[in-house]
Amino acid sequence: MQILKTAAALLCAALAPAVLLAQQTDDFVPVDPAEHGLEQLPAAPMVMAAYAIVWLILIGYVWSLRRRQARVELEMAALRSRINERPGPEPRQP
Amino acid sequence: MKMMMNLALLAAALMFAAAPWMIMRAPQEATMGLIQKIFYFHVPAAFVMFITAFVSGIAGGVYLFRRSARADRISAAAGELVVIFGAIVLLTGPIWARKAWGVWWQWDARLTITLVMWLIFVAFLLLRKYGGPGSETLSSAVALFGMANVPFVYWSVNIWRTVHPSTNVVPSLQPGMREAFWFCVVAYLLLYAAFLAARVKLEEQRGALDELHFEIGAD
Repeated sequence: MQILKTAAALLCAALAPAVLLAQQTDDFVPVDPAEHGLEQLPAAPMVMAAYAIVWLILIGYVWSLRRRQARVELEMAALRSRINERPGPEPRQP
Repeated sequence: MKMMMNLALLAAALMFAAAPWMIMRAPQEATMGLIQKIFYFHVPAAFVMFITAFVSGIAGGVYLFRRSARADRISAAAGELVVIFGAIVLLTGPIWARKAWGVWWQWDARLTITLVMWLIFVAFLLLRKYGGPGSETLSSAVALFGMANVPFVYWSVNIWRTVHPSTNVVPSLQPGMREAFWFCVVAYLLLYAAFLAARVKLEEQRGALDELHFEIGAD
């Protein structure tokens, strides 16, 4: 009997940390089927959204490059016409 | 040069248009399913981001040692493209993560270092725009620091414990997946070549414009 009591005490001592650890974890809440249904993320729209982002960034960059290039060309043409309009150097007297 | 640039842009546009067909034909991944298809435009964008960071850093180094105006233009162009392709990586990754990991973002090594590298190149662009005279030298040093991040980003998944897939994914791709992936890589590389050439040309035009301003101002 004494042996059995000792064995039971040892078993309890061995299991105690596991029981304590189990109590430390957050409570498990049963899933609500309706809520669970909402959590299922559809993959297809996400893949399409990612692809659309790639296109938007690339098209936006091409547009930005064209705009900056056009601005520089415009400014360059204005400067060139200013240089051409300036009177040339006076002809030297013999 | 301009014809080559336009051809590269046209080829890239055609390949980008054909990419969804190639991607859809590729077999679906067993655990992640359809969302894994983001891989085909997320990883090639990261490849190009690494390449352009190297181009920007090396050109920056050449500018620092030789004061070559052409190297500075290439560094500026490539640095801007790090921000563009990095934005693609950093925006498509979280969409994949939301479905695969259940969160949009995780502060793990790969994601954090990628963000830091992208921010370094954003700083590089801000420095070039608002840094004033002498900003070319400073920004070249920043490009070198940005480039130094690339090996850390690449090997971060092998060195640290992270939720991100490792570098073994690409070499071990299955037939069907492999073709679609390399098709997308070539499309991105062509696009990158066209963008880089156009952006360098813009820098050259700006240089010519500055010379004209100087010519008018000197008279």
